[in-house]
Amino acid sequence: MTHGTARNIFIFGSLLMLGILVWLSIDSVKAIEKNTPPVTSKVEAGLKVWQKYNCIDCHTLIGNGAYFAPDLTKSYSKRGDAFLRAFISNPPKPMPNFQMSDEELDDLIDFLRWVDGVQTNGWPPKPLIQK
Amino acid sequence: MKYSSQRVAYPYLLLAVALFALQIVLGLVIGAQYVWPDFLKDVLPFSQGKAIHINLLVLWLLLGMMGATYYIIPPESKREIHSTKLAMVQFWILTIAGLIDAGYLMAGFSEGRKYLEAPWPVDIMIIIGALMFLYNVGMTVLKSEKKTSIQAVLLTGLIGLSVLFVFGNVMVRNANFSIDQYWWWWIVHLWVEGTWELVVAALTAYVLMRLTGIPRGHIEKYLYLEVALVFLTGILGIGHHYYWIGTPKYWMMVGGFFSALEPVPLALMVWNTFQHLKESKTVPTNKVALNWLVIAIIGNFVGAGLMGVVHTLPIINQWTHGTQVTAGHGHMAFFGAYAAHIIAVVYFVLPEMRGVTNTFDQRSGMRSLWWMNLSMLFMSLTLMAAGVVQVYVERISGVSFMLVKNTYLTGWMIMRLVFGLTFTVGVLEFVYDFIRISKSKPMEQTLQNIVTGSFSSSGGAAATRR
Repeated sequence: MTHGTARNIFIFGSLLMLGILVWLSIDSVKAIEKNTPPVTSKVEAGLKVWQKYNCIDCHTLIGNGAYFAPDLTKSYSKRGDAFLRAFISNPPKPMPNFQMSDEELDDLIDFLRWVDGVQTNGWPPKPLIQK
Repeated sequence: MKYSSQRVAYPYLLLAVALFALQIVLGLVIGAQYVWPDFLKDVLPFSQGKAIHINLLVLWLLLGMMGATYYIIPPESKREIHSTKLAMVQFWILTIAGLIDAGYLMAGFSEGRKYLEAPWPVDIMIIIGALMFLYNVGMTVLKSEKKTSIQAVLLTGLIGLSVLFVFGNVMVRNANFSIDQYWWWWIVHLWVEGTWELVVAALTAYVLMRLTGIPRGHIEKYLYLEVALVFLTGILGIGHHYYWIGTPKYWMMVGGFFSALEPVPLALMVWNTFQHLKESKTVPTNKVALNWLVIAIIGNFVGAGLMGVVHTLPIINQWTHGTQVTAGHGHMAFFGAYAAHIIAVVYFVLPEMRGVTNTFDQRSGMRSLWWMNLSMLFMSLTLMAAGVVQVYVERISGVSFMLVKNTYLTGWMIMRLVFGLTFTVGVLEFVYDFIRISKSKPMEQTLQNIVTGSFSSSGGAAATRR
């Protein structure tokens, strides 16, 4: 293979792949809007709370984050509103107590409810051995 | 060192090494928090320590790449850097940006996205710094008489990573968390499995060429093919992050297929490097730099390639996604592919800059190489093993996360901390060596040359192989 051929493969191959990625991304973003529950202003505010307290640098959400604390994707359906509220207001060690306002707590729980509704292609898989 | 403007690389490399050392201190703290969850938790909660650990990582690697670029662009372009003043202004902007970010994170603030915790004014400062850098390097390359493949690949990587940073930072600000994550990967994945690979491939090519004395044509022969394969597999390889985040099912096929091929270019780089080493007619005097370089290329293949490919298929990834397997792969990949490359460049640049390539004491460098590399290899294997245990006990058997972490994983986490401490030994030795070589006098070289009667240039390829 000549130098020029390799360079052309690099240039045109990369552009082709980038083109496919852009095309799939436009399609994916549309699909995500269908695969996720509607984003209300409270959900949006809840995402801001999630970000403000840097939750992702301990927890994971849809498996992405810091692996130091549990994944919270299905926490809403698993634990329920009241449990989450009590847990976050008075967390066991080593989780810090963030002293959130009632409004922040409401929004955060609404956000976790929203995440619970994301269509995740079956992730996380159910444990093979049930307790 | 032929061009005086190459000297501007020094503050960049100095700061990079300092931040690397600081990153490791933070790593020790959060590593200890895995074993003792209450350790320093009021001073530095895990989330803050983690954020600073990975922010410093990104910043020192970028500074290292910039320093390395400033060092190799003048000899590649056969002219001085367009403006050393601009390079220094850029250096201070990035330093201040780093300080603001560190203060912001220490105070417990965050923008709440992993790796992108920095506040937006810091992002703007980084973008300004990057633009100054690209302008400076771009002008130097444009004015050069003969354009080289190394210049082209390096610039493509640097421009690509800057464009992705700007584009990604705009796109992630979406009210829909899944869409936010979608574009977030455009920065994180397309940096580390795309554009950054180009930058280190170009740096490697240059350093290897200088160390071994192999003709440019041979070194550049496979460069385009390698980076072409990086992009051909890596761009759509992004799909392995789109299996479970609310994205369409086709990503399982696209992501699985392309990311399974991602080790191919990295394997080609390993093969190609060994071909070059066989072909080389000279024995490089700078063995530390050469050893770091070879280890970086192998580390890239093992850490990013192999340790990635073993959990990239959806059928496996559904179990390993978000476990310590990812953490193990992440450590070896960042270290092998990027940290080791920058350290290799530091060991090439620093002695040459001081004019002591043929005379500097390499024992310290070799010791730190072994401490760091063996420690990181074992740390990654420990984390991956912990991840497999986590998959069995938590994911498959359904035992709660916290119970698994506080019981079954503790042994592995203690081992990880031990390897973290031994890694630190290597880092301390490296920092000591960096200061020592920085202070060494080129006079010694002159004397040595007179004594041995050798007047070879300080390129590193001095002794001829028998």
